[in-house]
Amino acid sequence: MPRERTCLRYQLYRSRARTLAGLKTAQLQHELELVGPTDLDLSKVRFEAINAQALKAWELWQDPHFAWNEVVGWKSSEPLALDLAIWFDERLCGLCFANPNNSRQRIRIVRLEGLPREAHPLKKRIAPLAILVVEQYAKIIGSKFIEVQEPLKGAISIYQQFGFYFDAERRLVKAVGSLVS
Amino acid sequence: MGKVIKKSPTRKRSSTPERKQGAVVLTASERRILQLIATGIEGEEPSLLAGSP
Repeated sequence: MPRERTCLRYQLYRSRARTLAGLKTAQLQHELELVGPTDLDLSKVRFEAINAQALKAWELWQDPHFAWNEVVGWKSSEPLALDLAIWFDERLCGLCFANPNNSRQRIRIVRLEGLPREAHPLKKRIAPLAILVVEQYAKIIGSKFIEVQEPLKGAISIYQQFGFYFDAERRLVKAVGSLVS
Repeated sequence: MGKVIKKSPTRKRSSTPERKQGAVVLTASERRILQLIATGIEGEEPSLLAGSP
């Protein structure tokens, strides 16, 4: 069945995007350690799917903004979408769901949430870690832009630090980077 | 007739940027993202970052 093949192909793309992001954070950790001792330990960061283990950890979050168990249904109805759980060791620190449009030219971050109400080791790093993975996925599937859906007013300046801007239609977007050789 | 030179059956290595540099190749955008991962973002990071509950 073509749909099954598509599902499998995109499952591989998602996995590849998470793996590539992991390689890049590993390289960053290596470079930081070459400079000197660092408190940051990115070797414990894991990029995974939103699976049963992630949902079990999410149930322990205090007052989360979203019902992330809804993503289980979305994953079956949106086979091209990217689901992401950001872990630090055994602690779930962030969740993200992004979905490309029909032409795949634009991928939209539909939901992004960090562990609420608690200090955690990836505080101030959830947005960049999520965008790193989304950008890998966008490049794999050929998207030209990443868009943030309904960004909280207080979070807009965070996205602008990554080069997001408002386009003519007032959408908060960022062009997907091309390789610099 | 000239001498026939057989081509080596081994495939030439790709000259992609990855091979040339011997490390993960980064875009300018990725460098910026990784810099923010290293330092953390400026200002507070709310737990709700995208989407409307």
